Amino acid sequence: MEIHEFSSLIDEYGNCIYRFCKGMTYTTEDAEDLYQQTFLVAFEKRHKLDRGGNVKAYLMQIASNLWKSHKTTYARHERIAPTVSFDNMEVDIADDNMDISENVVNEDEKQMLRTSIDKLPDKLKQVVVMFYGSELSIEEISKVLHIPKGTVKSRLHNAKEQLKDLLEGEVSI
Amino acid sequence: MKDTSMNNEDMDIRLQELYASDNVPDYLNIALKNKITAKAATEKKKIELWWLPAVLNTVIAVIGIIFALVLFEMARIGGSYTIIPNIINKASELTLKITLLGALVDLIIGWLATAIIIPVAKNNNY
Repeated sequence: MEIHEFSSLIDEYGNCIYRFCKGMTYTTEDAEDLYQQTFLVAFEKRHKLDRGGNVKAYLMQIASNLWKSHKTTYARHERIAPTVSFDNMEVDIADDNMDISENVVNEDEKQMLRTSIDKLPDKLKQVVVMFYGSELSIEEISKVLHIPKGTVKSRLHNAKEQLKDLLEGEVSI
Repeated sequence: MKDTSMNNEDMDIRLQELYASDNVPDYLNIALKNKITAKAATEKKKIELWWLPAVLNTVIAVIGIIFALVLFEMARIGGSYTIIPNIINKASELTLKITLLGALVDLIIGWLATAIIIPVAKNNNY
């Protein structure tokens, strides 16, 4: 595979991998590092990409394996650096139909949701980020994580239940 | 009082909206593409030495074959009156054949291992 072909893969699947990286790490630096590492490893193993198959799931598998091997480092960074990065707190005022106060509320809700997702056990968090963030199908997630489809569905269900409890708990406080 | 209850559809929508705005920053993709270009350039310059063990093995085997042949010839021509008589006395035609066969098998195994193991090792290069 030539460099320009690989670059087109970055353009095509970059967002989905980046969302996984951002969802699974706690700082922007770690997310960016994981994202770059994923594509650099994929580039080293690009002969496997030539064989066809599901490129998105293959890239996600690399990202997931890298995350597993570095997750203790990411957790340590979370302890010494603030979890909420400034770019997460930015308020997008580009939408004219919404006033600033509404936008702030939305961003606040999003931040609350992110914090709740971070509180989920890794197994559940991974499935949520892959399904909603990277937009992987149940089948693709089961391939990436080497678990049955039923397990993916039950993890998603459990994750949503726990998120509801966490969010309702936060709002009531 | 604000209704905090949430159904599954609400949760689905909120989760989808949460990640929808997380797009890769341009600077990150530019840096990544630069790194990949640099990596590709380094790969081109890298000298591959996968053939070295097999070549060394061949050289050693050939030296062994020559040594065995010389020893056999010395025994055939000079008999027990040549140098190192105890060894040369034992150098029969059968010993020579066994030595040559051993060297040949060593050569074949060496090159087969190179042909089979190297591509597998390259494929699994993580």
